[in-house]
Amino acid sequence: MKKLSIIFCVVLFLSSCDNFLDVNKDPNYPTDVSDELLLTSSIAAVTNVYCADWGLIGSFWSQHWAQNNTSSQYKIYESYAISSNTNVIDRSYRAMFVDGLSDNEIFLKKVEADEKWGAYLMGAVIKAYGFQYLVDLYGNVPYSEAFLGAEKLNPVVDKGEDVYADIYALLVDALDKDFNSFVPELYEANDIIFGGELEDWKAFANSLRLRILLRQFDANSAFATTEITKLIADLEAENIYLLDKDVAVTNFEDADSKSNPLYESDQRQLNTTNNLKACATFTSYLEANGDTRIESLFVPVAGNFYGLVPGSYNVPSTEFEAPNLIASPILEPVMPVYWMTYAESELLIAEAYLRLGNTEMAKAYYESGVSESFNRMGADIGDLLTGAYAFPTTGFNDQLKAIIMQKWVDAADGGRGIESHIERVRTGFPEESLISDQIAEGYILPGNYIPGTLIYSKLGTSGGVLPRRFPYPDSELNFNSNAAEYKSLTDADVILQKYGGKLKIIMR
Amino acid sequence: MNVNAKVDFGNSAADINPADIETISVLKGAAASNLYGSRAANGVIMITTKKGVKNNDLLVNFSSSSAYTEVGRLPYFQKRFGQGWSGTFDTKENGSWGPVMDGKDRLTGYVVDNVQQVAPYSYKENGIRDVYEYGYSLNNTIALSGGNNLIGWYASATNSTNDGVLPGPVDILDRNTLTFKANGGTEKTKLNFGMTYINREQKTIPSGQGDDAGTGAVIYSDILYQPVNHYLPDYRDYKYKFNNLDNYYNGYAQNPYFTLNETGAKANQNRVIGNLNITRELAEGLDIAFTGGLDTYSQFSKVHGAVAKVTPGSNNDGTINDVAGAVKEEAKYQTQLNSDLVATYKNEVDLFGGNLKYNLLVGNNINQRSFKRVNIVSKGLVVPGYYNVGNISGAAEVYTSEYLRRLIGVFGQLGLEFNDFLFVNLQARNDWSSTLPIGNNSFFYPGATLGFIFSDLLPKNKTLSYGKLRLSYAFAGNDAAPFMTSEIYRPSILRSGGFGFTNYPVGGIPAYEKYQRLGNPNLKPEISKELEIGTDLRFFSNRLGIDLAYYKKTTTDLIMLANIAASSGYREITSNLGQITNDGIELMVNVTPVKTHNFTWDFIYLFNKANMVLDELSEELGVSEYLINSAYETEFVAIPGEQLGMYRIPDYKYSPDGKIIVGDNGLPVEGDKILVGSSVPDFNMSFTNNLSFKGFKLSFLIDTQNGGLMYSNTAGATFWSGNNEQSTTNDRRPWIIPNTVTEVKDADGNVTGYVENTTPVVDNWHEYYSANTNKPIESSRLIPRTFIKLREVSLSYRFGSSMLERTFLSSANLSVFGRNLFLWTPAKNSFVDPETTTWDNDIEGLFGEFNGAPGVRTYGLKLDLTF
Repeated sequence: MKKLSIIFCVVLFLSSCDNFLDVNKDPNYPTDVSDELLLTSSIAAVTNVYCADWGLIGSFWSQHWAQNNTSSQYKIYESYAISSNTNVIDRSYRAMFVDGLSDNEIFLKKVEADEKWGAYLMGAVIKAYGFQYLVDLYGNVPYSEAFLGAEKLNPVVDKGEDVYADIYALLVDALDKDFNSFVPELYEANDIIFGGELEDWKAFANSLRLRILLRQFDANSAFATTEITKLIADLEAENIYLLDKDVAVTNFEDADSKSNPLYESDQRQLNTTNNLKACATFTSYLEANGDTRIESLFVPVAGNFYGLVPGSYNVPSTEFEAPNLIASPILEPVMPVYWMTYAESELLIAEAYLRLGNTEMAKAYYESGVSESFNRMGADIGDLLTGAYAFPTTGFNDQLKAIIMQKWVDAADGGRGIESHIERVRTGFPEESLISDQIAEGYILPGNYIPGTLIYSKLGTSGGVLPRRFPYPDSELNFNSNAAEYKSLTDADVILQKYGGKLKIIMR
Repeated sequence: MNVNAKVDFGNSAADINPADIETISVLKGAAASNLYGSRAANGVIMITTKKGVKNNDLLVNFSSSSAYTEVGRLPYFQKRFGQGWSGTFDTKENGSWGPVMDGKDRLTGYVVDNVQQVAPYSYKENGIRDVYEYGYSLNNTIALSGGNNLIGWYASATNSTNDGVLPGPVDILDRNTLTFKANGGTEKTKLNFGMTYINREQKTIPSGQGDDAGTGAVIYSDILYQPVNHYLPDYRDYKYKFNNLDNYYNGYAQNPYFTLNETGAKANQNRVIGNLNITRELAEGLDIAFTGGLDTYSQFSKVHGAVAKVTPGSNNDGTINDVAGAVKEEAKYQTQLNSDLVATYKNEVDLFGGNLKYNLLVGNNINQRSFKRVNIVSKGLVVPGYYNVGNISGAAEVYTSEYLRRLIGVFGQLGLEFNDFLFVNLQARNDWSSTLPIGNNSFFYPGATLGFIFSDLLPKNKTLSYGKLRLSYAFAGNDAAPFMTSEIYRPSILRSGGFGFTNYPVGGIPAYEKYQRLGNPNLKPEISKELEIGTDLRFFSNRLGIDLAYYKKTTTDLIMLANIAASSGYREITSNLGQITNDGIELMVNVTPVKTHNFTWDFIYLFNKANMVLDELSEELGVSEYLINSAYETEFVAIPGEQLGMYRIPDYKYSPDGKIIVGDNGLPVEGDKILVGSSVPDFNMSFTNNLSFKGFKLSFLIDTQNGGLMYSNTAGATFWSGNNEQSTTNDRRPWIIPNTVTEVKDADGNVTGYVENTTPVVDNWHEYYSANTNKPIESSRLIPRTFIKLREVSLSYRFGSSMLERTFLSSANLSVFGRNLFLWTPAKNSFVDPETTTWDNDIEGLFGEFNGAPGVRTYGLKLDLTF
């Protein structure tokens, strides 16, 4: 009897095996979360890449900043020695896809299913914003088969122009939804850009549309011209409106792992806070024009705003120590990260009018953009708009240059150098100095140097060619059997852009 | 790669008290996994501990050993060039790229209170070595055993204290162990009980790389960046005005003595291991046995780092970062429960005129492991020097995690022995694991072994005294880590530039992200099959023994965390990655060249050659290789058809006629990446000699390893700082790298030709040796694993029974020993002991070391007395 009961117990036990073994659900984390939590996460992830990785490289390549000579962290940024296995390339690419745009994709699917069209617009804008930069920096990228997880471990690479067309259509479609049932209160906290204000998102969507159109103005002229004409007509008819405020992420704290991403990495966590110094290209331009924004952008040393010639990091510290001589960019723990500034949006409209031949309106928006830039930085514009920064009357090229140079200055505020880098690749402004070879490392520029012209780094390793694009990272090249081919940072095939008029525009 | 500051409190296998060990046997290969389940898929180390014997007198054993340790291999430093950079003397630099040391007095360090110190500009012998002190360890064990007609019992108590080679009581391990075992019962019912309690108290310091927002600098890393004209013990008084944070001469590294004294970690672990075994004879030859086992520990640990703020306006202001100070508390609990129910039937029959013994075994195993951890991290201390998680202005970070995993197994064995010379064992086991997807969580693994003592069939002869053939073929199964089958969301932890993170919530706003690991609902069990063929031959009355074995183990559906393309939306997946084959030859030759009544000389030679080859990668993942680990420019990859663990680094870029292309700065340009070798050594050998004369016994063991590469960041750090001998190539005079050309480009950047390079490497030697600026130089971070090591020497004396006759002692043994007394490595490795590793001891750990703690040499004395 006893034995029988043992056998009975064993049989009973084995039959409940599945229950006994059903303990593999992680009790530590949820398997689903509500959509607004993902919204915050994807905005924050895009913000971090845009500012602390891309923005930092961009500000080296735009020559806002230079590498200090008594430390060494960003030497490779300034010597253009960035390749597929460089940390920053791998890190930013993966964070953009996995942390930023993938979570945004889940967000988009959730709110689309729930027909929360206001939230859908936010997701559409984030997606368009992220992919515009990816196309600008990489050309062709995975898009149509991206974010599918196990369904597609090796996504195909889509052509840049197709991605551009699709994100533009996405914005147009998302703007056209019925927003009546939208409840902004649900996103008041978690929308860390506009606090759930849908009108602001619409304005941002339209400013972004204009940026996407202008980027492809040379490469896809017919489409761009038609669409810009329509957009400007809608703007004039007040059917739509563009940004009237900055697109800013501001929810930072002065605490470990909670602050502005660039500050967090470069100032709080790194073992020296002295890597970033002002670049002579930029400070010479500001000083030559008497631009008071210099005081909002840099901390002077002994009242001087000296900047380093790009590639001066090997000057022996016995000659001079940059921290005791060269101005440093102002980086604060809670400074905002601007996805797009009001000033930039106004300058985009200025360029649109310029492209359409309406110089009068171009001038008005140019002046508004420049004034807004000064306002945001708390600087006094004085009479610069009738002086050094007066809108040129000498034709299209000078006028375009004036607009783009102002974007260049505006982008130095808080790590947005990637925008001005892309604009340089597109328009050729700021121009390259013709006397780079004659300039010595250090901080003193020769008399015949034209302030604000880019100097090929004294320690450049890219054969005299300024960087144009990002190389695909090893992780994508190695782990995606459908990945694109390796590209170096001087390969001139980032579509939808032209390079200072020197290169043919190729649509592939 | 994770090289952040971390604290390692070691592993708990070390908890077993050596004095309690009776025997250790290694059950190799898959054939061992039948009784022990998937946890034994790679073999079992079977430790049998001592136990009491029934009807035995009280026996008292006392053993004591004490040992000194001293630091072993440290990187060899160059002795010619002193502090500075680009050939220029600079009193605050952290490298030896300055001018030739002339031995003359120079001003050194900073001006403090209008005073600056003077020191000869010369190489300081043992400038780093003398930071270390002698370590000391003491072990005392008393063991009592005895028994009457009911039970036999064994009890022991051990106290062990260790103070490591770092100066002061900062690296300490104290352990107290109590063991009690009893066995008894009747003829038909036998009972075995054992319980061990272990208390471990430990102090250590963080290793890896520094963390300024948290606990601060790390000593092993900082001392590699001290110029060779400084004698570090001079800075021992880290509060002295010239040596404090504000004024310590090195503008880029903290005074290591500050780190040593102001950061640290301690842990206290209580562990109980117990088991109970009841065996009941149901009938003649038929036993049923139940064994229940428990292994549980709780550990509390605390890591602290001091607030280290440089006074504004002082010398190091702006170059040395402020450290915010941190305290981290952790509590961990783990419990493992194990149940085995086994029925055995033994009998024998007469067959073919011989005798056939057989045994049949069926059993069930249930194993459960549960774990819980609570972490509290507080960074940015308000009151310096006070380490409590509440001592911060913001909120502490709190993390908790737990897991539960279970496994059920049933197994059976049939063992046959014919006339004591032919042995056959057939076995099979099926496991069900909770960590695999339900429906696909069952795995079956059979096996068979054959043993044939053929010498029994041969006529008695003086040459071959024993000959055995072994053959086994067995499967073994393995499961995954918990929670790999599904996806989760977690509060967002986002990368923030190269050095930071953003940990949500931020500004009171929560955020969740989809975790980067893709769940794998299709995970399959990992199955290995192993063939082993071996022979054990003994000649001339066992004076010569040869044991030769060949094994080949193929593991399919290898379960590993695989990287996937970010464009999939995820970074990794735990997957059935592919197939690996391990094969190798093991040879043991045992010779007794001399054997007389008083003197015996035994010599043991071991040869071992092991290959580990990745056969294929899963097609589903669509990848051609697998990245195991990486550091700076070195990738450690698994590639089908190659040894597991191939190093890949950037090569030079070559012109069509094979010349190295350099850039405008005269330094080589990075070319394609190439494979430069594997981590797998060609072979290992060891030589053991045991000489005994009367009561004396002298033994020494020499270990050698030949071939294979390892990554050494210690090498990288000493190249970076110009401290190693290799960095003095060409006496650091300007030179043009031989056989180099530069590219000629047109306006569009296209290469149109090549011209001979005329740009010398002048003052930027450090750039030549830094993999940041000269990527192919990364090859100098890959050093050979080859070594010859005098692993152990011991001389012992066993007092003869005649000498002990009049004492209360029944046996006495005294020995002196030394470990790792000598290490030889080839010239390319003047940096580290090749057995150093920084990563956990799995495939990742084969990669190498990252500023690891140096190894130690040990000298000791041991006394063993039985009453």
